[in-house]
Amino acid sequence: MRSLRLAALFCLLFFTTRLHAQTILDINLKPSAEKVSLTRIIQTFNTDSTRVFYLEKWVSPISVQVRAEETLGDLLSRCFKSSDFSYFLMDDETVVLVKDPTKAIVREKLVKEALRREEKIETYQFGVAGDAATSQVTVSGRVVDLKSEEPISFASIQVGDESSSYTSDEAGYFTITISPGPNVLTFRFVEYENTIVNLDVYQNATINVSMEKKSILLNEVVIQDKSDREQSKTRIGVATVSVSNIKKTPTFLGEPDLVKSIQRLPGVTTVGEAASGFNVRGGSVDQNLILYDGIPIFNSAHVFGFFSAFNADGIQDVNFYRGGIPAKFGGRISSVMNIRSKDGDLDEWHFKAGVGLITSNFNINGPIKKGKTTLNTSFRSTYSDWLIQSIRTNYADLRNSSVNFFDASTKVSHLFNEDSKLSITAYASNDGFRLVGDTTYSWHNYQLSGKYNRQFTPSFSGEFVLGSSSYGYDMSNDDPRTASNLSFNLLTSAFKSNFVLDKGAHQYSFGWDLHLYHIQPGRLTPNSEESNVNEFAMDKQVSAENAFYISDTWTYSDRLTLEYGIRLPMFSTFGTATSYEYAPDQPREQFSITDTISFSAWQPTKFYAGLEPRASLIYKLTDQSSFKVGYNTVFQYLHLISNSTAVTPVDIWQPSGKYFKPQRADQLSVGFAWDSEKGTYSASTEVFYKNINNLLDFKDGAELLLNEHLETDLLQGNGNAYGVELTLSKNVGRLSGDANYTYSRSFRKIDGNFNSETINDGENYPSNFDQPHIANLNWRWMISRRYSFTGNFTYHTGRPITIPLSAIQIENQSIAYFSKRNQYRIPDYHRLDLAFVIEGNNKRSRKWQGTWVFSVYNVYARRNPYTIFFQQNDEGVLQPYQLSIIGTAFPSVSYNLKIK
Amino acid sequence: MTRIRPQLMFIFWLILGGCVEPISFEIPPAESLLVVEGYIADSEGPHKLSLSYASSIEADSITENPAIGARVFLLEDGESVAQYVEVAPGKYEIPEGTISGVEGRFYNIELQTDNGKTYKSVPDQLNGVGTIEQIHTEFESRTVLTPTSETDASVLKVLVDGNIGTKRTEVFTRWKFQVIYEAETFPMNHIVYNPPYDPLPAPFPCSGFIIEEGPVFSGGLLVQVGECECCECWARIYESAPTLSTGEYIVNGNYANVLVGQVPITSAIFYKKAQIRVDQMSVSRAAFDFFNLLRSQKENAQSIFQPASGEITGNIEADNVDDRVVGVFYATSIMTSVMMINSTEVPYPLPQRTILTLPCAESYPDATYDEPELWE
Repeated sequence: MRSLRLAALFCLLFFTTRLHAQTILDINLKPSAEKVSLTRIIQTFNTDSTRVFYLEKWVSPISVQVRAEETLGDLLSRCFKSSDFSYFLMDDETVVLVKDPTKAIVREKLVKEALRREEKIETYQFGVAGDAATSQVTVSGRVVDLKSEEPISFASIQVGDESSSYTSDEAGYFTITISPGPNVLTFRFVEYENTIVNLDVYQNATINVSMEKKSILLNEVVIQDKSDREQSKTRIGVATVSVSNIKKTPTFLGEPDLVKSIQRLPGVTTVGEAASGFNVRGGSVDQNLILYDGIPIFNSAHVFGFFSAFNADGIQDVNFYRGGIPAKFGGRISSVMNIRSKDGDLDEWHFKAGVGLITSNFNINGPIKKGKTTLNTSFRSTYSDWLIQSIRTNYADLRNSSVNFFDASTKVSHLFNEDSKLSITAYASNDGFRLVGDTTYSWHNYQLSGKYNRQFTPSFSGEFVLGSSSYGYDMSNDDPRTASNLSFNLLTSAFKSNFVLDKGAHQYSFGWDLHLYHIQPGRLTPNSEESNVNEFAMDKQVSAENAFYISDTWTYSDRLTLEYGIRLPMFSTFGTATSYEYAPDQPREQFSITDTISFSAWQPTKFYAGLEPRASLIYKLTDQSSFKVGYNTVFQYLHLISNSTAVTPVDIWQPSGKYFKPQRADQLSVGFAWDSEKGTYSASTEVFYKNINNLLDFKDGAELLLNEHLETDLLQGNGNAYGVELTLSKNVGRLSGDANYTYSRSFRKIDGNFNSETINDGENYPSNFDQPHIANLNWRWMISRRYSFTGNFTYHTGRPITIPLSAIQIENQSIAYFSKRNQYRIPDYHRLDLAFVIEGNNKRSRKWQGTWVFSVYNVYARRNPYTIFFQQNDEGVLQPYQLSIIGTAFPSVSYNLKIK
Repeated sequence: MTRIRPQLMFIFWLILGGCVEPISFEIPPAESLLVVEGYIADSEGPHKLSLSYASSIEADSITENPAIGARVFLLEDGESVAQYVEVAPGKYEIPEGTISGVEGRFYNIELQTDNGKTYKSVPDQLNGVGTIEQIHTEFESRTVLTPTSETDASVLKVLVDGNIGTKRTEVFTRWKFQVIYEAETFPMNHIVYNPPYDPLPAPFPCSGFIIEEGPVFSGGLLVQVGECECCECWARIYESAPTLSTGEYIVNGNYANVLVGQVPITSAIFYKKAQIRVDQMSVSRAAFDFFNLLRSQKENAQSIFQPASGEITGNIEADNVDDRVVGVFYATSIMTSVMMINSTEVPYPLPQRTILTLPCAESYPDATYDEPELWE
């Protein structure tokens, strides 16, 4: 017995000695051909000489294949890599497995909170702990609306309780890199319920996340200058405009207005109270690409700009880019407003209606075939005639005048399966304006388009758009002797294809866009037999714009994401056409025409090609702050021909050609954004510089209608714009809101070879949209869950104007002597709007919900000048007058009803 | 069809309770701007030139600011050939018979104002002109909206046919339109109101009537003692905007039905008869551009949107770039044609005439007591 004890002591000493050289962790394991349970492996070490302490439930799920010459330490490290398990040596013979409870505690806390809030929780497991071969795994997928399955752009994705977060892209796709093991992902998007993904992930995985709209909100549009208020996470120059509560903001005559909401973003302004369109970073209104389900819209306004042409109830969301424009978009050099119409509900029918002072609207959406085919249709029309005709006035004509408009949209969507979907959208917008016995003006936007989405593989998807739109106006004169109709029409046919290939850290997007334009620039036809108007039609203009593009969104690290790409636009014009040659040593005028060239149908007349590099970078300096850079070059081949500052219904679009070179803009933006730790506050700033070539301006005295020699009345030159934009936001709490300020300048220079082709002696002059100081303040104070008080204040410097400086006498006529172009400014603009919102009982079980909005537009009755115009006095001299379109405070009330 | 903008302004203003109010800007003094206007024609003259200074745009009425005491010389092909004489404040002439413009030659002026500043015009070539073969009129019934009602605004449109004397198309032509009409007032019936309310006869002396003592409370007797010298006059209406052509109206050197002006149909204008006078003028490119800007301003500047008017320049240059000047001096050939219209030729019932009691020349625009040329 004694000898045995000595032998044992010898062995122990031997192993101890050996273990001094190599501990239990250094013991080589026998390789296995197949995976074996980790429990089984560990149990082999529970001998008299070695010991492993552990809990069965920790290791039992783990199976692992033992590699050649793998030690116990290597194996445990591999199995527990990036998990919340670890181990330590108690002594050379004893190893203890431990579990770090931090991630589990966080997960439990987040899940419990989500359960308490009745938030949606989805649970997934991908692989088991032993599968983890790397320290990081990639989780990618797509965020979609639960009912419509429409992608949700720029949704925020928070990992655990980390302050940093990720963002889905425009098509709803996301890619995040996380530690293997238990994780909780929180998906957020404005007006959607949070969705919690309870995830055990040990390998790269793909998930599709469905988010449900908050039931307490009506489908309304709100402008968010960031995704879920986290400015440090979004790319530069982008604003997300998504469905929310614009109807609860103060509005003019109770009409929620998408475009006016855009105008409250930093860097965006307008030339007047009711001007159509908007100006972005010193650009003109035609430099904004407005897409409705992928098809361009050429007039975004009703009644000359008083109301936007889009009914909020028909809109899913809007993405607005003013800098770092993605390669996917092109054709306009200042901004992109991408509007997506809303799909119908897959499960049940809903009805909504709104009643305002001058318009009413309704929306119906629901399943034609449950779970497969949906319909969403919206209609809005005006009864503004009563307003005009009820005005107390002696104007006989006014009582018989009319102003009317409507817009309608219908979308039918069909899900073939989980991977493919087809949507057909029809949109119509029409305006009419008439003074009895004189002239009737009408203009329209009609559009029909189809979109097919296909997920070819989990990482490869495609989107195809085919559609056509018609924009045009008619001006009819009913006077029997001069009865005539003047019309303009622009027919656009478009095909677009866009593919997304997700390769983990790289997400490639590529595609091809084709637009075919048929323009009738002017046609004058007599309306009656007695009319002495001669029929006249200008040559139709046919042109094609197509572009190839490719871009890569490269998530280099948690901190650095770079999106870079290139777009190759090509533009061709075709006959039938007549082109004029002008003497090179004379001003371009009709008298200097030296030759006339005729082109037959579809004969190419001019070709342009461009190269548009695009780049956008976001670098997270900390979890709450980021540095951003954006660069884009964009060519524009269609130009709005106007000699007014605001868009008018009779402006025409002109394609690039021999004498109208494509406009080109190169823009560099640099920004910084910061969010407070809990996202309560955020701040951002962007600095930009934009150089523009070949922009158009008009000669003094230009005649644009029915002008066959338009090139003799227009001039091309260069311009630049620069500025800085600052935004401060309070995102949560009873009082929320934001304030933004923009300082920017916008100049042009037109220096031709002849005096008549030069403006302001060839020196820089302010553009019509040069408004150095722009400030906006928007807020919402939630008095209670049902009552809220909202408001906004707007200020901007008056725009430049050309004014008469003195009166001179020429040939017994009094003539105004004008200043150089745009050397003076109209008075500054500022306005305060307030609204009080009463929401109904928003219980989920309630079948109908209503919202009252009482608002006052222009509270302190500021007489903001819409424009300065000139009237001849008794002496025949032009004298300046200020026209204030809305010279008083305008109260209004509207009611919105939703039935489900 | 082209009246969209005034109409838009009208409807916007009314519908939305908008308001229109005068606005003023801080602008430099108007008086520093010299205005030059004149031409040399292919006629005997007199060749006239007007020099003035601009007046304030904000004044209620136009104040004449003649540039007096200037020395002005006419140059032909760079050689001084005549000097202008100031015949009235700011009005300069080369006397009749001194010089006639010659087709193909270049003319310009050099001038020095009384404050020593010097200016000159860019030499302008005198081109030939064709003839007006016919003036004819066309009645057009119209109404316009006024702040309180809809009123008649019918006009007689004046059209011309003719040729430009060449088959070249790149010829700049201007038609200058003027209406002279015979007007009548009754200054002998003028009365004044003796405060507070007693009306008393107060004939103007030029009426040929005086007041002699009469019955009590009669205010006196009206007695004619001579001929009325201010009862009839000739008033003038000028074109609202220049009519210009770069050749678009002209086919093989001929043109037809070019609208050059409109005569408002009023009882004042057609009380007796009116003379329509159309000058067909050849103009140079510089003069064409100048008058084209004037035309644009007259036609478009009342838009509520950005007015399509800009800085008017012309072809006058100051030797010192700091001296401000605007205007035009050009060389032209002129072919004049006149047409007389009697009230009986107006196809429209003329409204009843308003009896005016001021001297005639004070009652009508740009009226004189001198019978105009070519009056029939």
